[in-house]
Amino acid sequence: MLRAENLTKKFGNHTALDQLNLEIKKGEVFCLLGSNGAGKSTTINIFLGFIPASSGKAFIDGHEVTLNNHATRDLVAYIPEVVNLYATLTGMENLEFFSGLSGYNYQKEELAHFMETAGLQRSAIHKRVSGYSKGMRQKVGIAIALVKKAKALFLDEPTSGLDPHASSEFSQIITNLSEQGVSTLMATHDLLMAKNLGTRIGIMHQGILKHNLLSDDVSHADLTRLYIDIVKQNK
Amino acid sequence: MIRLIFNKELKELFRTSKVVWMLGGMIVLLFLALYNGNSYYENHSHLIKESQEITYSQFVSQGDKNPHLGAHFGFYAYKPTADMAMIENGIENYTGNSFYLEPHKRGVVKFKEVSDATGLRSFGFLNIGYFAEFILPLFIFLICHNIFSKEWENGTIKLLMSSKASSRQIFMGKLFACLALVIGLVLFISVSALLLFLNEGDAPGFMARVWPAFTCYLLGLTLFSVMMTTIGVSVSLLTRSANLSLIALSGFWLVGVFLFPRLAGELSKNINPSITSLEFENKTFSEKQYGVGNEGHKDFRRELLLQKTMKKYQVNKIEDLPVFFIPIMLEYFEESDGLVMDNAYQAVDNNQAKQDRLVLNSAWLTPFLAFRDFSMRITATDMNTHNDFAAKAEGHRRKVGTIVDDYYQKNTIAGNAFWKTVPQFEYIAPGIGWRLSNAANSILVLVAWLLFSMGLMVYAYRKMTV
Repeated sequence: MLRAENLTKKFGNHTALDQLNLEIKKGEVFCLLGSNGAGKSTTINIFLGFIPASSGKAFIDGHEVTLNNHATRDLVAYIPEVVNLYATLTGMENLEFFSGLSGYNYQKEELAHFMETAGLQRSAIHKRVSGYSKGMRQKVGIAIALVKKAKALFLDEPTSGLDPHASSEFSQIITNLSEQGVSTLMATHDLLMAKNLGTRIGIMHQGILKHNLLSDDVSHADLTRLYIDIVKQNK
Repeated sequence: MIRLIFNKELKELFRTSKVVWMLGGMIVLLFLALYNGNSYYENHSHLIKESQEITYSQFVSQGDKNPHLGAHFGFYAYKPTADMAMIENGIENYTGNSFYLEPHKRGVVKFKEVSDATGLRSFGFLNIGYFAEFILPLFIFLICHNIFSKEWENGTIKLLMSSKASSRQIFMGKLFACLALVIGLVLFISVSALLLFLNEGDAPGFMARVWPAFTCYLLGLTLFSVMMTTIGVSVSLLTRSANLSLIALSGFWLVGVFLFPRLAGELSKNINPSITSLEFENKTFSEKQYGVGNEGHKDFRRELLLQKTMKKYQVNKIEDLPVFFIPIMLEYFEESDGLVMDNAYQAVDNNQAKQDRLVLNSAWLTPFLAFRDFSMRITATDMNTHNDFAAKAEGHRRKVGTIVDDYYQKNTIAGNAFWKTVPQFEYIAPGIGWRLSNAANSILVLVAWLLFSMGLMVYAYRKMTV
């Protein structure tokens, strides 16, 4: 579903991503670990078509990703670290807007159902987003991904700052989506979540994918050790 | 997609309290501008019509007098308040409105309203024209400055750009939302102004004269507003920061509305200095004495005219002439001095035109100046229309002089029956064809700015990335 071939991104003399080769199959959850500046977000931004690759290619469901490519935009959903929504609109209005932009014309009741599936209480959906907590915004972000019926989900530190309960709810939703065949590429610092949620785990350092592991093949302790070794290299 | 973004933007705008307050303020200012404009028109137009009637009726009922002395009684030619002065009074307050019609005394337009006003008048007169030229662009920039930058500052751009909407659709949706507010205000202006005009519509030919000019004015105002909105939205996209965008747009407004016109005005006066009244008086005094082509002193020319007249009537002495020589002489010097004054005023007009051209050339750098110029020319409240009035009033003064002198050649006393044959002065500003050609330069500059704003728009949305 997602493929990177020798994907490289340079910002001036700095190489943010170096010859990344990666394949994420349908329904897989690939968790990218790495310290800040390792190249995780750059990888996601290239897949989303936000920034162009300096060399190499990225594919989503066989379509090559380029800037502002509608064919690939149709297939993806994105949840950033902080889901920023339009504060003067309600959760429902935000969802309605983004589902419309994805080409779907849902009834209000259907949208409310998506909200509930994402874990947002019905009483909150008609309130302005300016009063939402970070967790509630993340849930609207998930609902946006759900309404879009995306084949690929890109998550950039999605559980950062969420309380354990909200984080657990979030993991469950990703698992459900994975079971429905949605491929996920998630950048995270949360080793435990990567171990529990990921089908595969990658550890990046200075733009290079150092490890590409099957989650079942590595224990939490080994993963922690590998990660710390990488971070030490960085220092 | 465009409609979705358009609806969302409007919803956001109307839920932003500062926008609602600003819009409320604009409506209050608009009502004030309409009230001011209407009061100005009502007071001035009636006063001028009444004054014109009074001055003429005094002239035609002055009784039995020597025709020449009676002509010196004179009467005023008043410049009627421009039909569209209720929305734009241009330079009317600064140019004066009355021209005294008296033989061999070239009139100058007097009674400038500003000379009776306090210094506060230098801040301008709040009417629709002032609102459209100065306040509306600022409102547009305040509405548009963060229409895009908020997406980056709030972090919503990534969600937006990961949707199906293209950069062009996002841009258009936002542009149309801002335009909806702006065009809404322009429509409000149009309808209100139209109601004011219709209120005056009972004057003969009033609406027929107003319609074409008003339509052109609205078209110009709409294009100006579209241009300003496009610039505002494009700058918001290019800067990606509400603060930076606000600084850039308000700087553009400040420089364009205040600094540039002031600088251009000063520069034009330095490059083409205005002819002082002392220079004017010296030149005309000397030429009046000796003629435009230095034909000889007045006494010499008077003697030459006498010889010519006696030859015409085949007599040898002035006493034998079948007509009075004095009116013939008066008419001769009226024409001769008239030529001197025409040349002198032409030089003043040419100098003014040079100054105007330089000021208007600077409008290539600021569209505000071009729109102000367009607004005054289309509403016939500009300098050229004023000069047209002055020329027609002067023509009428000479016409009155000729009628009186012709009568005086054979009559020493004129009564009311004669005075009533002197026509009343009537002035109607030139029609829309003349006004459009008068405004051709500013229209050209505005079209160039419109094209520039479109180019900026295309450049901006092509640069739209996360």
